[in-house]
Amino acid sequence: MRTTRVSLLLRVKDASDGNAWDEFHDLYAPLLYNYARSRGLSSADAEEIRDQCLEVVARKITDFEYDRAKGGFKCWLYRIASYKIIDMLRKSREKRADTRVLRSLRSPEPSPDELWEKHWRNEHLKFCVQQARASVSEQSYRAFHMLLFDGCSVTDVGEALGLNANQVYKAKSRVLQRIREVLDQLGTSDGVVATQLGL
Amino acid sequence: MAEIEAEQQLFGELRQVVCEEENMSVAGRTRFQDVSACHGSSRDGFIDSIEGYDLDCELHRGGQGVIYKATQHVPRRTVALKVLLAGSFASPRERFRFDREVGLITSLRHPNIVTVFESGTAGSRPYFTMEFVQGWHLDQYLVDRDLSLHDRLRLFQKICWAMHYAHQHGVMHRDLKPGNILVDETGEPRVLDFGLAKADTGETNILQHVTVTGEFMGTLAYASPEQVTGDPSQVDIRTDVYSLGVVLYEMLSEHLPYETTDHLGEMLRRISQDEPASLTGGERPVDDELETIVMKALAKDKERRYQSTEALALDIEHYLKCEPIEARRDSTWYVLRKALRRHKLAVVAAAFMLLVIIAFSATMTVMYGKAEREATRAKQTQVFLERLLASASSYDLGPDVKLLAVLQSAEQRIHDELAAQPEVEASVRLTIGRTYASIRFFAQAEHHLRAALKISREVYGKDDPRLVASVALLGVVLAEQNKPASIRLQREALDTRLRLYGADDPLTAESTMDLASALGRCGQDEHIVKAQALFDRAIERYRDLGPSHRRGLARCLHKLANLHLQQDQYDQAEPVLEEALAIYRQLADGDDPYAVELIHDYATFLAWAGEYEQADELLRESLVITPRAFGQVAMPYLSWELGKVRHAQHNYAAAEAMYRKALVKSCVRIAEKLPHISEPVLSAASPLFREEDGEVDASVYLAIFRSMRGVKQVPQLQLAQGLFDLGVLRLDQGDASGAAALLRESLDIRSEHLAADHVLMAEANSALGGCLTKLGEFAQAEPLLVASYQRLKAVHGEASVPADTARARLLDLYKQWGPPDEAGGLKLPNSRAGAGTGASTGSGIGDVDLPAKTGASSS
Repeated sequence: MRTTRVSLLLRVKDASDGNAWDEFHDLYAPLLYNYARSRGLSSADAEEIRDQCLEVVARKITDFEYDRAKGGFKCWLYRIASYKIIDMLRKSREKRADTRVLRSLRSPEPSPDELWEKHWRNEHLKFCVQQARASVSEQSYRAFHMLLFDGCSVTDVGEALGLNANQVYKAKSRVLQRIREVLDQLGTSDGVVATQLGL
Repeated sequence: MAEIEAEQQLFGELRQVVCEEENMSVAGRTRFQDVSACHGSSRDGFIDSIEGYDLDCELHRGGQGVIYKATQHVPRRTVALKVLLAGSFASPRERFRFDREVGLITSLRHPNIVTVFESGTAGSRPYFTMEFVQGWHLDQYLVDRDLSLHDRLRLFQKICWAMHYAHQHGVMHRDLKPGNILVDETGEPRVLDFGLAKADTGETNILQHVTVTGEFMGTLAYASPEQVTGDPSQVDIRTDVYSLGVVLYEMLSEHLPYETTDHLGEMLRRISQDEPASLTGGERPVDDELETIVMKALAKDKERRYQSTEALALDIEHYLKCEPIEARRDSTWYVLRKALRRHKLAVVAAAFMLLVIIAFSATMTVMYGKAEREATRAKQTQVFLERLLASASSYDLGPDVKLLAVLQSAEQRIHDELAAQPEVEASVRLTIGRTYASIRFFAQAEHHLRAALKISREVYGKDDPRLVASVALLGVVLAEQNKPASIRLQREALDTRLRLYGADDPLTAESTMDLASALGRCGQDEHIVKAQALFDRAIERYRDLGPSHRRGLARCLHKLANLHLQQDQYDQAEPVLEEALAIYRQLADGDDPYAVELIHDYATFLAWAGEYEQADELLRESLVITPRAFGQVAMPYLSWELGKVRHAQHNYAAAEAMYRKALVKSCVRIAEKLPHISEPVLSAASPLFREEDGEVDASVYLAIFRSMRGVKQVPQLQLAQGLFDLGVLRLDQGDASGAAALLRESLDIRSEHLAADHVLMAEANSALGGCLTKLGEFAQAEPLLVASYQRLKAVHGEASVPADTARARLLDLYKQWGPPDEAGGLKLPNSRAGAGTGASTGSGIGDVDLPAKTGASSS
């Protein structure tokens, strides 16, 4: 089930596979950025965090050993991101009364690992939608797009694309199925991260 | 079946992501009502549905409840729906409080306040709905954009005005912080979460609130000392002033005023005891003035804060205009009062002394602020003021003289001490120029402002606010003196402000108004048209700027009315004056010098229009409020005006009383200012001092006026006018011989300065003719009456009051003496010939309706 992701990681380990790194970047750069923002960092700081984390990954990925007991890549990346963010918050706290620190403390938000969980899931979903698009017909994707992004009803979509309701349902189902396949291949459905991290 | 369900679930999850994404900008910035976006994929059963709404997605989950994005069915609109935690209201009383607050808050309609629509309960949970606003939190907005200081202050001002509006409607916020202020895409700030959030904790005790919700330091940092010390009864609108102070501090420095700590007790101690860290030395230093404003808002003692968010907004306006700030006045006034006591000087004219204070507090800053930052400013201020007052005390010649002496002595000091500090000198001269202008000493003001401008052009860049301020103020001062150079300066000021701040900024509106005013005062005819158009534009701008700029709107209307009056467009002037007055009445600030001026101008207009009762009322008001704004200078003049209005109402005794009051004041003033002539003036006036209410002979008045005749500091034509007014009054009172003496003196003075056919000569001649008729000197009266009637008719028109009065006097003459034809034929060949009307009408007085012959022959 994890073959694709493992292979993505393996490919990334291989410094000569430029495409793999691009793909990796497309998925994890927004994840890291958005996660940092949700922890209360400014956009500049979040960019900084994202770059620092990607740099660590690029340097250390060759040493990374896939070990399910340790929570896998998801946990590893989470540890890196958490460390970098805490580090940054501490530094800015030392700079005296920085309000960004407060912003992160301000409201009883979900805990950092819950946030991570959420962003991890969201970014993978978004990534999968894009991936799925390549392997379904243009027509199916358009129907799906209207349903998902524009919030149109099945009737509306049918009228717009000249399809009957059944065809719209079928298109939707096809795309969703494909998304699930990609999702499964990436192996994001393990929900054990938070408990294993103990952070 | 399971397959379909799984699909549905996945699709639902994706929708949730999309919904969130919609609320995020491209760069992933938070774009909705709260920092966090939707949580989790399900609604956790917190609330399933609310009748009348579709819950679209969850936006924020906090200690107080959950906010959803929802679609309301009727009317169809997107709203933000906030559901409070179950059990929010322990008692019916609290429930009642919540409902009442919702009632108050839903009545708020302000462009910078997020509107609350309605409230209800879903199950056991109270909820309310509000406008769905897309925007950034204030702090986020500022981090993402690099706003100029000017723009940041304007943004902050809007928040202050919104809060002022809320306070006027009985609503406090009690939890102002960047997280409760959104900035929408158009850059407009929107305040949300009024009071309601606190209703659920019962009392306003912030600690309880904080501990209940777990929102710790973030909320705490914006809490006022009275909130953290836990006495809810101490919380009032000045609590919001404090929180806004923290917001401003953060907007300027990107820091909070106190170092934060995770230790609650320590944090509370800092808020209630520590002085905020200085803003002048940080990474983004602000100047001394602005820091003073922030620190005043952050004063621990409520009494020493700005007393309203309006006062805070107005002081920022002062700052933006490079005017002395109110905050400075506070502390300096305190110091000065102490100093005054020490020097045993009577505080005779508070208003004027205040002007001095304003002037020198600003001076102080520049003189000592830079050189000796370490020394406390208050101490330096005191030293300077004491020195200043010590020098002023030797000129104890009355309030106005004292002010001028102080200003002059200060100039010498500046000259000696600031020669090598051009920036300081420019700033000081700008302040002194402004002070002179405010007491309408325009020539002196011009002198200082020209010097300030010259230096400013050398030392500042062309977009420097201080340079623009000098340009604009010099423009105003020149326009007041009707000097056309003002047009060029106001144009420069307007161009610069348009470029720097855009068309919608209040400063640009002000420059538009000032340019219009300069064109109206100094321009030729084609300029007048332009002036009108500019006034229209400025007025429109001020209207757009909303209730917070009504003061500017009123000033603009006043100036437009003056232009109308100057163009003899009386019909157009009246509604404009009326609106301006209504605005000042709403503002209820009787000490505003502009309001004082307007009230006087309106009264004059009403008196001219024959609306004596209204004019009387406004003038009486003027007498009360003018000294507060301008000191005693204008008092004799105002009393005199009121006397004239009373006279016009045929209330002769009251009129004479006012004239006497005015004369007494004038004499005292002259004695103070011109000691060398004080003796004859005071001795002539002594009967007035002796018998305050007793009747006096006209000769007393005559003696007073004669004692001032020829004194070059006394405007002689005004003297003549005084004699004329009193003469006419005496005539109406039946004292024809006394009146004649006064009028002859008046004519004598006027003839020295005016041409023989001047309309003022005609008026006086007509009145004198009236006296002579009463005295039976018909032959002397006739030529005067005929000639003056013709002249007044020609100048003012037949139906005018002066022509009408003159005609009545002529008729009176013929009534007593007999009509011209019978009573000795034509008694006035000279005047007839002089008037060039020929003999065809028989009387030489045209259409005068002569009394019937029978009546004449019987006399």
